[in-house]
Amino acid sequence: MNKLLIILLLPILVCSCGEKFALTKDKLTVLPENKEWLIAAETGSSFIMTDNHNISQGFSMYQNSTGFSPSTSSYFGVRTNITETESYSQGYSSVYGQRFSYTLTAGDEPFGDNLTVSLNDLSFTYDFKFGTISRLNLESNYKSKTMTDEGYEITDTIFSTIGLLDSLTVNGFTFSGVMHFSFSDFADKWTPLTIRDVYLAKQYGLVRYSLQNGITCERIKD
Amino acid sequence: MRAPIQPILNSFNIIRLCILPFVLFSACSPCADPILIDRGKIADTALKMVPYQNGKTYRLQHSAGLVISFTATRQSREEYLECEECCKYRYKYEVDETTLTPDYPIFNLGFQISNFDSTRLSFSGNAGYYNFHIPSLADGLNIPEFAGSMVLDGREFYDVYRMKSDYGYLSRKDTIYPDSLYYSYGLGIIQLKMSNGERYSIYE
Repeated sequence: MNKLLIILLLPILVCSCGEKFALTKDKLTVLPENKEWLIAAETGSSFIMTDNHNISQGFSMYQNSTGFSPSTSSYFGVRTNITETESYSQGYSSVYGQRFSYTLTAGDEPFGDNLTVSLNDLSFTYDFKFGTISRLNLESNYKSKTMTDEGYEITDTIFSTIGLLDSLTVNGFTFSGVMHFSFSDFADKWTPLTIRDVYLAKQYGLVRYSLQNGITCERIKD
Repeated sequence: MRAPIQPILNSFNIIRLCILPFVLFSACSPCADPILIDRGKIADTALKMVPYQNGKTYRLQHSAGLVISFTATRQSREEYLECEECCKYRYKYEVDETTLTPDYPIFNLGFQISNFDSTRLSFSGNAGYYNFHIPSLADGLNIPEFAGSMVLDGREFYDVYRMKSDYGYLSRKDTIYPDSLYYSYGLGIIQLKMSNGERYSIYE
């Protein structure tokens, strides 16, 4: 009996040393409706934003990549499962040193696909399925909701909000499908240049943002 | 009949193999200390090519009207040119660096003077990622476009240099970028022109 067990286990153990071997494989992909938030542009492309003092800046796309990242789970040294998770990364920087990026990652049950948006020192992650902000950063200040088997558990209260708008008109152009992020956390860390509001449009990305000192930047449609 | 094995391990070759590493190692003698060539300090007359003083505030006005204040930080430091292998000379030189930090979310402006090269002073400016080579005193190697004098809002400025940025040499391609810098030793930035026509002009 023991010999039979060894004969059965040995090939599994040996094979489990291979990078791609596992008893089961999963593939997590981003839902089509969430991909609509990705920016339909290519590396090197750009857009212009003008602020309320009529100072313009161009944002150029320096990154636009996609791929599947593997993660594994093992049991007594045997690789039992490989999960490949789809993700997209898009990044822009401006001539004035402003940085804006997206990371859209497929969700793993019970969680939904999540979009991490970074604008300079501020970043937040939005879970499409739960319709909530799950993580938030301002420089080194950090808040997150705890992930459990059933969903999120609130350990840190996040005061910032996200609203989904049907449309938003900016500089005479109407963008359809807009996410409005309003930042209300870490108030004691704010400076005049802290970002307070961010508007993101499907297919276009950043269309408006405003700072604590009242400066508002708006997208100029090509 | 099998060929005899090459006598690589015979006693003669073993002795040679033992001696060889010692010969090789002894050939790598440690480097002699390099001779220090000290370029000395940057002359005061050269430092005056940048009029901005540490801790002071300067202003530029955007062509749309907004006046932006910049705080200057300036310091000189010694630097050394080291080399990885044995070098005969080691160079000590001075770098004078000035940064103008705005109170508005646009780029920093910077200036750097260095006496690394004994034949000429290196003098450059930058607006964010973009650099400008500014002609320095006794600079015979680069002849940028010389603007002479220019009139700005009814005021005439003299001895103004006009430099184009290094945009064409960079892989980075911004839609809007710093295109031209108008600069005088006495007043610093007279005007910075962006590629879309927007301008930052001296405001006193």
